[in-house]
Amino acid sequence: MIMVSTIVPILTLCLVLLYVVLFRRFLKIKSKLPFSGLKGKLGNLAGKRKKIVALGILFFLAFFAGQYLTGAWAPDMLMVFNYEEAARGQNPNATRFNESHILSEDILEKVINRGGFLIDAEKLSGFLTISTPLDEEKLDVTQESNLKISTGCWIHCSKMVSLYQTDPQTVLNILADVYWEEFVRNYAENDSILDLSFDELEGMEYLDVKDYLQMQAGKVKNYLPGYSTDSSSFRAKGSGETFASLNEKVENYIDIELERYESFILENGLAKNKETYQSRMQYANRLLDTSQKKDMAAHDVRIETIGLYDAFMTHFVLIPTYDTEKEFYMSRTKVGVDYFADEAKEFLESATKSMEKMEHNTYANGQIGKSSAALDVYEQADRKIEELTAELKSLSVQSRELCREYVEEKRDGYIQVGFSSPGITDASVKSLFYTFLFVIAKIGIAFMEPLYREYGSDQNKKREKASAKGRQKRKKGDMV
Amino acid sequence: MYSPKIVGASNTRIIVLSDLHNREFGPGNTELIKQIDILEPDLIVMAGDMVNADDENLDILLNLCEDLLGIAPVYFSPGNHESYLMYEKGILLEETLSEKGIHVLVNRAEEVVIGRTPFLIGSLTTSPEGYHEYGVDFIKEFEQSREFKLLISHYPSLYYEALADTEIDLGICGHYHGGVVRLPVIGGLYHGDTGFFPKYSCGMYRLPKSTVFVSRGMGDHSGYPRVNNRPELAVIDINGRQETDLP
Repeated sequence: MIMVSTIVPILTLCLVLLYVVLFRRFLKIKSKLPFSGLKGKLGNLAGKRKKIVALGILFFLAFFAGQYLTGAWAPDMLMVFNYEEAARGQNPNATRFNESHILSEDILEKVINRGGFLIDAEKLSGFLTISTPLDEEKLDVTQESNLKISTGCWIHCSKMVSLYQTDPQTVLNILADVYWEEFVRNYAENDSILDLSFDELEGMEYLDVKDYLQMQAGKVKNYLPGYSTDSSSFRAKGSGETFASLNEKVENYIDIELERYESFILENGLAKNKETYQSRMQYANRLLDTSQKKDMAAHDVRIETIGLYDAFMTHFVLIPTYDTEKEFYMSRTKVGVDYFADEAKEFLESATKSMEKMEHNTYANGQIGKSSAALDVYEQADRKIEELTAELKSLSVQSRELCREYVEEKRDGYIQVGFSSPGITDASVKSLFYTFLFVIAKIGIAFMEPLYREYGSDQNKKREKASAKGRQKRKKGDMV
Repeated sequence: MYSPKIVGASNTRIIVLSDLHNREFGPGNTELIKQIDILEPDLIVMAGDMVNADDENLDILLNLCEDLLGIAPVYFSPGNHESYLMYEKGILLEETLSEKGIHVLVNRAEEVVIGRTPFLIGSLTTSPEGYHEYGVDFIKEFEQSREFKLLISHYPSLYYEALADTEIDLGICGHYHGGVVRLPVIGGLYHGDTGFFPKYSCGMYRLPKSTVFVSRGMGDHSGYPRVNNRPELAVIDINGRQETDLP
């Protein structure tokens, strides 16, 4: 096929040479051209008309076949990214999409291995070019309205790749396969956050276990909403779970199961090491106390500052404006006193939280101090930890399965690939244009042929010179 | 090819060998084996006529199978030449291949999981004439599976009528040798069973409920020269990547 792909360049080169010849001949005989009797001279071409028409048809067929077959053999590939985040220049998992990754060395190495191609990644990279439909638009990037994100790209593979025992379409096909796999694996199926580890539970204090499990459950809880907003009605085939039902289960786990566990531990004052835990709580309370005092001091300063503010400086202005829903409203400008009030509120909230924690620690400390729980209560607590761990693992597995099923349903359409097919109309129009140029050149040459033979040809000139010399010699001889 | 039944993002690669007719590519088929090894298939499918009916020596096929087993699991569906050796000459081809570890399927199917995708690989060895007698029950059961259904059947003509409306994810055939002479645009020229211009002679065909791949084969036994019809080592990649037609 690579031979067929040379037809169009060869014919184009022939056409250029034909015009060079035509132009050269024209320059040589332009002074002799009978512009006045042009119509009559053109009539003399009647004998050559059939030959020119036949050559024109041959040229058209060869050009058309070359163009069409090459187009079919070496099509361009359009890769369309068909998911919501693509319009924001992102991958399905909201990470930044990088177009250059399609032709990265890593991907090309995999393409070469999969295709068993006898070429290295650097050379293959040289045969591949990537462009976006927006590349053709001349956009002014300084204007915000011109900032567009392409959700597709064209990939072209040079015909020269066939020198390495393959063809452009095979290379593009395998490239699309490899990139699709990498894309789905890296950007759509990344659920490694659901790999929950419970190794650290070993030897952990009973009350710390609650915080640890809450943190792990939070991972599952935070992972699910991303999907649940996309498709609340999606239901897992096996378990029948939806994103909403699973999210509710995780919330119940945190708000009910873990709270119950904490109550049980506090009620019985359980600790693996009483002294260590109590001294840790005391130290934590000292830190919290300091923090609470700092927050309260900061709060008091701001309240005092607000009291010192001159009434004249607290005036505000109402500005007519629109909200995000395009609804009209009067916006109140913030003045210095507003900022102080906000900060005072934040510091007070922080101080209250510290106070709550201290009270909790004090209560836990007291409970542990007076505890005389029997061994079976400790065993009961251990069993509760096992149950809670198993339940969280189960929630993690269910979440993973649900997300996997959901991704698998969606992933097939993430990237859609299409190959350009050679357009018969385009190929015909182009071929006709080139044939027209060819026929014009042939007519021009045929028209100038007799005049060129007579006046322009170097051989004729030589012949003329030679015959002139011969005539002169003959004249001299006659004279002698 | 695209299939929504493929689980996960992994590509499933199938190598198709057909109509070898005891031909060798390099001594002991070393070149063929090397090429297949490079392509790292998940599955190797033999679509029949790997031997010749008039040659009872099976060494070429057995040696090839032994080497291929080191690369990937091999599924063998007998063609008309193997059927002749098995049923007319009483050669224990099925048993011999099975002993070596080849999955020889005669009007039956086996389940296998490749990557995370469950496949049901079946083989219909009967010709179209014997379909209603030997094949119809098997196909009825085979069609009910929800797994990826891969059907190896030597005769493409089964898809003319008998399997035309059967739900098969991928059918693999051989037999026509690409029509011996391949004409540009038109396709295969001739096969003894169908006469001129066989309907499915080479390549992938999309039917209303299935996709069929017809291999143009690797060897020959008729003596007619293959013209514009090079021996084919077919590679089929199945994954979840969709392809669309551009305007």
